This record gives sequence, C-alpha cells and structure tokens, in this order.
Amino acid sequence: MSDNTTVYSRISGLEVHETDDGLIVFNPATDKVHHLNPTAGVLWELCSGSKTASQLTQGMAELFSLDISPAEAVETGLNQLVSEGVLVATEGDASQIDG
Amino acid sequence: MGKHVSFRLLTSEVDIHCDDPRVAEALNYIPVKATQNFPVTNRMNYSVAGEGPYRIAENDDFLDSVETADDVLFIVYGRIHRRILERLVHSRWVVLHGGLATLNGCRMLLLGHKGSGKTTLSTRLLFSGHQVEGDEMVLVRNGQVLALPRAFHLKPGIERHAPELAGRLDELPKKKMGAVDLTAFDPTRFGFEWAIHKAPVDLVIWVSPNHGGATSLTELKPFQLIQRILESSLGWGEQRNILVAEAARLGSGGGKELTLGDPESAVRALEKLSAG
Repeated sequence: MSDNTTVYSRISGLEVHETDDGLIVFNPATDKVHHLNPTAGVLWELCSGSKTASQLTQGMAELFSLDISPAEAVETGLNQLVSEGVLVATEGDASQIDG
Repeated sequence: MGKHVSFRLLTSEVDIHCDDPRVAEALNYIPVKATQNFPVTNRMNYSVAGEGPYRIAENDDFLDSVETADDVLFIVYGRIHRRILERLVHSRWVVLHGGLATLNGCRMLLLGHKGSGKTTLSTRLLFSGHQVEGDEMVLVRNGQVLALPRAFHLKPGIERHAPELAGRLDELPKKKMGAVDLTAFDPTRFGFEWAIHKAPVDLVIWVSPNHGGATSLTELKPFQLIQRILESSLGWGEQRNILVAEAARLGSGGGKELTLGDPESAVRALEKLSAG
C-alpha cells in the first residue's frame, strides 16, 4: 500500500494507556479499544506524520539493534495499524520529508 | 402507624415506610449490616401505601402500583440500586461484575460473568475463614475498589458447597427470581465481620466456569485481563474512556484466570496463590 512518498500519522484524539505488554489505545470516535504489542506500540509512536515506510524501517532497525532489515514486518505492521484505524497513510511531499 | 425499613447503602441513607407488615417482611431482603464508614450525602425515602394492591412512592412522587409484597420488593430493590449506581457513575465510578475477597492479606478482585460461580466461591471463601467484602458488584475509581454492600443471593443447592448453611437457610429472607427462590445471605448473621473498604486490590482474577471439571489457575497477560475487565462492565452508563482508563490501570500488571471446577479446590488454589 505504501510507496516511497507515503507518510504515516497517528490518528488524533486517541487515548493511550501504557501497560506491561504494550499500549491500550482507545478511539472515542469509533468506541473501539485496540491493543498494540510493545513492537507495534513503538512503530505506532514513531509515526509522527513525516516518515515514510523506509524511514520507519530504518528507525525500528536502529531502536531494536537489528542486523536484518525489518522492512517486511514494518510494512505489515503499518498496514495493520492503518486497517485498525489508529494510523493514517497520506501522500507526502518527498521534499518536505524529514529524517 | 406502619413499619419502617431503614438502612445505609454506601453514602445513601434509605428509609422505606410501609402500611402492611407483610411488605416490611419482604423488604427485609434488602438491608445488610456491613460496616460502611462513609459520610451520608444522600437520603432516599420510599413509602408503600395500602395492604394490596400497593402504591409505591419515591420521595413523595408516585412510582408504581403493584399487587403483591414480592412485586413491591422487586420494584423498590431495583429502584434503590438504580438510583445509587446512577449517582456513583455520575461521580465517575465504574461498575463491574465482580466480588472482592482478602486471603492472607492479598486483596483480590474476582471478576466473571453471571453464572461463573462468584457467589458460591465467595460463600466458600467466607466459611473457609477469609474476608469477603462482596460477591457480585464492585465499584472502581482511580484504582480504588469497593464492593457494593448487598446480601449474597444464594441459589438452591448452595449447601452442597457450604454445608455450614444446611438447615439454616429457612431463617433467611427470600425473593423469587423467575422460578428460582433466592436467599439473602448477610455474613454478619452468621457471626462474620463484614466491612466495606475503599482500597486498591493486589490481584485481579478472572473466574471462568468449569463446573464439575478441574480447577486451575493460569496467567493472564495485561491485555487479556484488560479485555476481560471491559467485558465485566455492567453498563451503567459509564463513559467508555473512563471505563478503558480504569481497566488499563487495573489490568496493567496482568492477572490470573481461575478455571473454577468446584469451589473447595478453587479456594485452595487461591490460598496457595496468596501465600506464594
């Protein structure tokens, strides 16, 4: 679903509760409760609206000291977070992308 | 003349005046003698006029007209609890389906669906020497938990799991719930201390029924427990975000699932857990 200019942002207005096994995210707009495991929680928090999938992959690799690129897992995770409705993917302007 | 049935229910003081002594006898199903050291901030007055049919009023406003003393109990019981729970929810309390017990100093919140065996387990815990604050409904706010003080509603056959009650159930108040006669069990009538406290819990247990099967305790990860806490909401109109926040707070450390085969083995499992 992503191309090299798609950026990811957390949906605004969510309530987030940290637990020992990740994040509990409540969306008042849909009245749904979501559980993000620790890895998905980190990925979700990295989605500040300015990073592409490849930048997020690089960020996750650095955070978790990975030798192998987690590109596929990040792609899957982003798709799941979008389908869960806690993340939105938008076409970014590559020239405006930070990082 | 008539009779008064008066009692405390958390921060509310309730007075029911009835013309007919048969109604007063039926209403004795409601009061319990649990110690409740909370300031009184609310008073509720009910009157039940007549000797059948009965005219019920709440704070002088007409409420209902019914035929029998059992019907009066049904209406008044429901109304009082509804009023009290509405006030509590308005004050940001969350109402959960659960009991509260302390074993070896470990205060446990026992959550579970209707029919999971919470009342039988609570009764067995009591007769096994443990402190039980409630069997059915608990209130949670900012991580503080308290039980709604109400009599345990014992179903027929409870003597199999609590033989101490054999031969003594006839002396206790009853009410009909469909085809079933429920018995109101106030622990203080059997010499147990019963006090309602507002305090955090040390452990959250999800009770799932396995009646007649084996009893076991398994780990629940925080999110599994939080999901179950959310399922335990009695839906008294709490704002969903408040419920989620309380569930996240209560469940953040994880908990246990008690698969309840028979109450005796469940008590032993909880005793072992609390001692460890």
